Amino acid sequence: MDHGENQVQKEDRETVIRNQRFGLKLFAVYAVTYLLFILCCITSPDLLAATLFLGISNSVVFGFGLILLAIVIALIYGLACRGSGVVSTAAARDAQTQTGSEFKR
Amino acid sequence: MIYEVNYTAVTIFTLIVGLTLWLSVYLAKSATSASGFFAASGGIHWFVNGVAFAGDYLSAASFLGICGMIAFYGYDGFLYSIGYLSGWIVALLVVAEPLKRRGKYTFADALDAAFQSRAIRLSASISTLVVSVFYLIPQMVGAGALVQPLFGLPHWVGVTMVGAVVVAIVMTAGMVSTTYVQFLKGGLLVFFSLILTILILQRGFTVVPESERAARLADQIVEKTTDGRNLINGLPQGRGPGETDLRPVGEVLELPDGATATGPVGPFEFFRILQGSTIALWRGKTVENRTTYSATPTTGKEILRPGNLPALKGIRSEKWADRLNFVSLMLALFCGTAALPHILIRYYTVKDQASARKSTIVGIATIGFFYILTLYLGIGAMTSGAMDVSDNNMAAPLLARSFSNLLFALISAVAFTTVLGTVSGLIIAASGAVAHDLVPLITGRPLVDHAKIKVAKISALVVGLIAIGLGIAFQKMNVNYLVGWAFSVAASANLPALIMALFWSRATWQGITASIMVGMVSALAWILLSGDTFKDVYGLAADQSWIPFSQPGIVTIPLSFLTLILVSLLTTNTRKSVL
Repeated sequence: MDHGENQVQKEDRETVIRNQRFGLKLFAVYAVTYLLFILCCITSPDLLAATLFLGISNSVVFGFGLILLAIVIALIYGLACRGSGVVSTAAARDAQTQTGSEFKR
Repeated sequence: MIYEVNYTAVTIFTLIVGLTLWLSVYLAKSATSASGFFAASGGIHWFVNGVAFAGDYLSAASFLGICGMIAFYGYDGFLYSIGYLSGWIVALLVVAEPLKRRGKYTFADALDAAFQSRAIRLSASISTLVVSVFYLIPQMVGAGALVQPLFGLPHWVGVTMVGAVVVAIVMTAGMVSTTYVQFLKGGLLVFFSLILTILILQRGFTVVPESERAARLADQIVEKTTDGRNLINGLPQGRGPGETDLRPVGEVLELPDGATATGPVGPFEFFRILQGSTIALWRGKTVENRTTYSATPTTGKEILRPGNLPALKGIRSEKWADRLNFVSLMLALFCGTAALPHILIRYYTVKDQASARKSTIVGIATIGFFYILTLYLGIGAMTSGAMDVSDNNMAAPLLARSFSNLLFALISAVAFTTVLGTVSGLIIAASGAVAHDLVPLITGRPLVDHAKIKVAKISALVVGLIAIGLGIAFQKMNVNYLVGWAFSVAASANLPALIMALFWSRATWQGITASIMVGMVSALAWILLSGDTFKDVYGLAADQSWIPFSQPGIVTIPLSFLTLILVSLLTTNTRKSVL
């Protein structure tokens, strides 16, 4: 089992910034949904006890929904970031992790 | 309850432990350099790393604690599942890729990349040790809870066994063996949880017969004698003549339309039937040395409403402080995942940021799927007629026993492996913090590769011994509740520093250091002075505490952010770069 040097894919600055912005937008969507769920728990317990979908309690629907939303968001992010970046070597990776300053301002 | 030794479980567990130790020895040659020992030389495939994320993250708290909470209190346990998973969104979309770009072996690497500050490295390594030890406690308690039915041995033996095996795994091949143990464990856990869920749906619900109802719903009284023995309903606890034991519990009292059994049910029908049913939920009330367990008929609708768990009863309270306690917990779970050092270091085991991203997505899918299953497992245990009324951590293995002894053996062994995987990750995170960050600070010069690995191995041994001691001391606490504390400390100490170091160009080393220390100390102080700790740890009345609610996150996370901003604005920025 080889755990030695391997080729790394270093993404360019524009790709990194684009991915980051898209990621933060998706994060905002999830964070707001999560917050609404928490607020629903403490302010509208009757809404959680009601059944709106398939005759199942909203508490279960919302809970499963939040978990599935996380998976969907992760997949969307993964697909959106697919194919970006350029190939470089392990040496480039080592250099950047040691300096931590690959993107100078 | 008294458990008989299950030799099948012992055999399966011994085989799994043997396999993990063999794997560790086999992989030892891959961990002869510091890069190999701490980060598997960045050579782990993203899919393996993704499943290993699940193996690292799905701890005893997730499997034993959440299933137990749902089995005894209903939906509230599932709130933990939701919160634990939500944190992965922060990890994927905010932290994963910049952390991978900046770090090498430890959480402190990423924080310190732009500053080269001794203060940041020191505070981050202390925080890593504190969070790892806090997180280790529930894992070790879970190990002890499992060893009783598995081996028929006392709690402390289980804790010591896990500690010894894990230290051996970490000392032989570091992150390489830890990764493959976690991969194995993550895969096994999800697979067997799925099998259990299918069996639960196949079995459906069955009402306890009228003729047995009085006997099965009678109160159960446990009394501790002065010489340390237990009396059950006035008789000595045991299996011999003149002795008795606690009855297993978990009764369905009514089904919709007066049915007595449902037969196999679908995954949605399962909840529809539960909503129209009545279940006996068992509660214990302790007065001095006497605990009385009583059954309370509870409707399915009530079971699926949040607010039954004592720690979360504030959801339904009229007091804002009680509601804030719940919000605070959910905030800590949301922010905590991306701040756990043993999770963060897994980003260094893959080759690049694309692999870090892909492995997180695999991790989220695996972990999310498992958490959906926890609701079925918990309710399945609640209605299984097999639970130990005195120990909710045993709900999942006992649910398996209600199907067959072989499944019980398999699930117990998998649960034990669950503990091994998580504890390995925690110990390697802690030993990395000592060898890579702390010791070079103390000695004033970086360690060479060989010395770094040696120090890491010694640290692994010491942390393992500490974990064993704490696992024995905290035996009686629910493992999931303890993990909630670890999340609060991690979210308060690490996340604000990490986010601001990565994304705020005006952050200074002084601000980051102050943020970590203030977040860590304030969260710890809040927890130690909270009503829950007064009651569960000090044995005092909860209302003697002057802390308004027990979960610190909603106060200490913003406090940590605020500290970082204020101190940074008051000091000079010396950072080299920001992204």
